[in-house]
Amino acid sequence: MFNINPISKVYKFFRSMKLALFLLLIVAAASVIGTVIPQTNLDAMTVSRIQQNRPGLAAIYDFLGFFHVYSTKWFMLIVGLLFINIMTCSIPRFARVVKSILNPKTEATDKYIGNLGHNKEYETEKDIETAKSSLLSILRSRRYHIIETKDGEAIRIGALKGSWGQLGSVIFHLSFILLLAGVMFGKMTGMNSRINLAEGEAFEVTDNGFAQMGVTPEKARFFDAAGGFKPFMLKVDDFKVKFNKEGEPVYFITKASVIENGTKVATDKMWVNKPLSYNGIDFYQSSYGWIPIVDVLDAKGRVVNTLSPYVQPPSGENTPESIDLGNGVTGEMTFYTNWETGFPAADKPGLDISLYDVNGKPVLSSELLKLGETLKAGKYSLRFSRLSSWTGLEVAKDAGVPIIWTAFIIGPLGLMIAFYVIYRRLWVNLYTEGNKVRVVIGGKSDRNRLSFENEFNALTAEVEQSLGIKKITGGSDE
Amino acid sequence: MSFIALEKYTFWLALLAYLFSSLIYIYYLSFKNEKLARFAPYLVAVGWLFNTASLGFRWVEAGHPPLSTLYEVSSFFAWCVAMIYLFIEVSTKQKVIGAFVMPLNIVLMGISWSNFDRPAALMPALKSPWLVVHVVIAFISYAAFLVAMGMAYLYILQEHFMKKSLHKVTKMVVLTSIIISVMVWFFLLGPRLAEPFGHGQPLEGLQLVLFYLLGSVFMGTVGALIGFTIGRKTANTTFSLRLPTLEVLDDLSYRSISFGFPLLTLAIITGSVWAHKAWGTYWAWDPKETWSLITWFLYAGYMHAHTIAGWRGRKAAVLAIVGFIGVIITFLGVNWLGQFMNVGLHAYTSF
Repeated sequence: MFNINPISKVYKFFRSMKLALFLLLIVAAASVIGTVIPQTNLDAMTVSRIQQNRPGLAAIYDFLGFFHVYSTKWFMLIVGLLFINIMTCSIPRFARVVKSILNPKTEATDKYIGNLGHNKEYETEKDIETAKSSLLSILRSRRYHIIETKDGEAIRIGALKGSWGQLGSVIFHLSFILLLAGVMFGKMTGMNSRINLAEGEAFEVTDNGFAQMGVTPEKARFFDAAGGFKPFMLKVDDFKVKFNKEGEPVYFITKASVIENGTKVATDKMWVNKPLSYNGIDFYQSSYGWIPIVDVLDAKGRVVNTLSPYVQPPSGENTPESIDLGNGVTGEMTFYTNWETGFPAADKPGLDISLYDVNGKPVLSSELLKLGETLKAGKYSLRFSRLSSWTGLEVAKDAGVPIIWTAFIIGPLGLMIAFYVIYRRLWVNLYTEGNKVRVVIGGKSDRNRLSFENEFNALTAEVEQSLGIKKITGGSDE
Repeated sequence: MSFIALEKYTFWLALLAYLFSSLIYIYYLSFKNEKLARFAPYLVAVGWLFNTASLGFRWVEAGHPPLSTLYEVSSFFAWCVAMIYLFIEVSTKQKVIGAFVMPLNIVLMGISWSNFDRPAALMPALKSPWLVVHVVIAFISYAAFLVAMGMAYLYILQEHFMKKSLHKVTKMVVLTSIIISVMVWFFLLGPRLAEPFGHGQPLEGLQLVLFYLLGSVFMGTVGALIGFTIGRKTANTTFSLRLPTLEVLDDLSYRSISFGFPLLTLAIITGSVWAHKAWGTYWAWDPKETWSLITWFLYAGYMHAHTIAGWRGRKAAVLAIVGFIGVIITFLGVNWLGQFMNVGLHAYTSF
């Protein structure tokens, strides 16, 4: 007794509608924060701008996790509680639904029928068996499933239709649980990372490969050969980006090969909306950029160094890249896809170069270097010899996805069943009273009360006609 | 005639047809003029056809389905509402609902018009067959929720009439008028006026906040005055007799939501599958995704309250209205916030 009470109290708390509403309110509040304050995963640039310009505010945001609301511990806790809430609410209901499908209520007292939204009572001159058989044929013609019981002299009929419609809600809630399970499974066993590859570059999908790309995916151990993973390489054969005349990128396509043990096993293209999948790993086209290749030549024209910075596609503002020629000569260069118009299509690539010597004296100040040209810079010369590009790929492994897709298919199916297969129940009691028969009829449906009302009225009209009975009380009283 | 001219003309004709049908419905509600009211659904149908034509011309001109910019989707939203409304009127023979739903269609067409843009190339992420599936399903569900909200609103109004609390009817009309005026400011006039004229600087930061705040106060006051005038008239007429019964309103609202809810579910699902294909992640918590989920939860709450907890009538009506606030935030609020905060991933802009 002492144990059960607090437990049932906790249980009641977890399955209360109040808790659900409270949790949803917090989720809504978190979403307002997530909408108003830029999020690292969506807009890292604005986040870092705030961190630079308003360090005090950023520190508070950082402490509360406001820059990544949806991956904070407190948000996880709320989602977890919501999950428990849904489970504790729906599991007892599943039991009730299954019980009601297996064991429907087939007998009803007159009092029960009298309390239903739709009920009528008649007296007929016909004998009880005739009355019963015409009632049954009417119910059968309307596709009701009929269970008949005798209760002394009285006959009780239970008629039901669409009882499996109740399963729809169970299926839907189970799919919801399946969905969350799939999400958790995927998060626990999968990874997500971004890599930038130059044309011609290959990337080894192993822990080592990721380390070489400078990324350490959290769950890198899944790429160990020891973990049963067959390592392979992805080589970027070609990258293309096409622009329209307004200078907007229309599409960008990466052609890549999959290499296993030194042999090419597959070649495929990927673009936004068309990923490449191999061995459970998916590669998504996510971004692109340029690699201006600048050779540093000495006085004799020999190449002593090659600069090949990865630059982002210009979107209004070009960020300068710092360069180091050695011997204390440093500087900056800014890449322009089109030095004339500033459009993003790489029609007239050029570099704006500034260089300073050890003493900070300018060697070159903001000189334009066009593709194919050479610029003298003190002891050295700079030659813009080639323009290459890089492709940004999202590398993901998510074994939860098939589970999620399954939930996505059965969930709506469950909803359709729940909404469109409507559980309707009717009960009829027949009594012999003197030389007359009294008929009590009533019914209810969980959904679509108005359409059930129409059905009930049509059905009782049919009953009245076929039995030629006089009404005692009637009407759909509500 | 160029396609863009045809698109504009048909758009205006659709707007006019919706406008006249609204006037007839409101007139019918006020004076129960059956003669004129017979034409109203035909006018809605004509408006819908012009709306279809306008979207069609846009499609031909742009070379892709007109479902990506705010101009396009608002017009499509109105198209869905007109279609669902017509279906309900034909199947239930209830005309009065039009007096509430059709004016909202004018607001939608207004939002569309004030965001008019020339067709532009689709950004790579939108080039997918999922675009049509996802957007069409989403807007049909929004339209069903809009109609359900209209019914729920009329339910509360009718209930006040039944209880003879006429001052509450007035209050409600005033409140509605204020809300609509403030919304017109936020979504229609404000964004237009906040733009720089000529070579002026756009408003920023505190200035922008003050601009919207003061504008809302002004528009709210205007709305309150209009609402008070209409509200007193409404409260003194007998139009409650022309409203459908409480039971019919509750049932229609419930049915619209149980039509919209599976569609909203499908919209979120198709969006998720699409996002997975395009970006490698099925859920990124971008503001639109998050708010669609909240809206989904609100309507899930409505379904539960209605079927399990047996919430009928007033409470359910309030939930149906709250749910629609979720729809508005998902549809517009997120974009509008994006103006302020530079958070726009999913926003309909002219890409």
